[in-house]
Amino acid sequence: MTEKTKADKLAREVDKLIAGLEPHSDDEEIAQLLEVARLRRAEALRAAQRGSKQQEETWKLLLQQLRRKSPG
Amino acid sequence: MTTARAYYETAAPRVAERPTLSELPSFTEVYDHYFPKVYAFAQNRLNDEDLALDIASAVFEKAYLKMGSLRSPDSIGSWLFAIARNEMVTHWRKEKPVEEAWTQATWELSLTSQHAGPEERLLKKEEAAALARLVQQLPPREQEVIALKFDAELTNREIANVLDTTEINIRVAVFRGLRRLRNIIDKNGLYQGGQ
Repeated sequence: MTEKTKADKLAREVDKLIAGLEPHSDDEEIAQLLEVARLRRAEALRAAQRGSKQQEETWKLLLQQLRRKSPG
Repeated sequence: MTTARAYYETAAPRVAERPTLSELPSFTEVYDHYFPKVYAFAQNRLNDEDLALDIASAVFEKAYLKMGSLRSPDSIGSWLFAIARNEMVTHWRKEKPVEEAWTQATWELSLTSQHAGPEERLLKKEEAAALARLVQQLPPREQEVIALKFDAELTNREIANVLDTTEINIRVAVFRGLRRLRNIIDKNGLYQGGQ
């Protein structure tokens, strides 16, 4: 299997992972890379969760900044 | 974000007049949907939570001021993360030596000061810190593609638009980045240099 073919197959499974579906591959290397992808995806979700906790406070600060830039 | 939306509608009528939003998602909808992703993208690229908040705030400020120039709702993801990318490039150009020192200090602190809390939570934090450190060993282009894929959750076409390249190149970059990361983990372990 060429690198491009593997990249295409991996891309489809990564998209499933990000969509919350269960990715799968019978190809040993792609299956290994999906395990790494799961790890990275978990970190992305943890970071997004931290962001969600700051979302409302940041929104208020952002509005203050925008109002200062919109005099009158 | 109901509270934030109500605040926006009642407290900032003057700012709401600025962009033309008639055929576009409202700014609050864009903010609600994308803020956690922009934060995650910045946090995982910078390894600094406070800085990530500053960057995310700056991104949405710029997005608000420029939103009238957005022609299609379909391109909003790539448009927003192009702004995010520019914000981080600007930051790195201005602050790189300081940022590197601060990042290092943050790592040292995060890896030595987590005494309290359940063991599982501690392991997850250490795992995240270790993974972030390993990701930093990837070539910058692969780091960026992986962050746009996993943190920003952009499609390959959107990432290609942000980076002005082709979808094929993005798919190959994700493949090579994950393979390189797997090789680093296989060779050194997840906790290489982190404890």
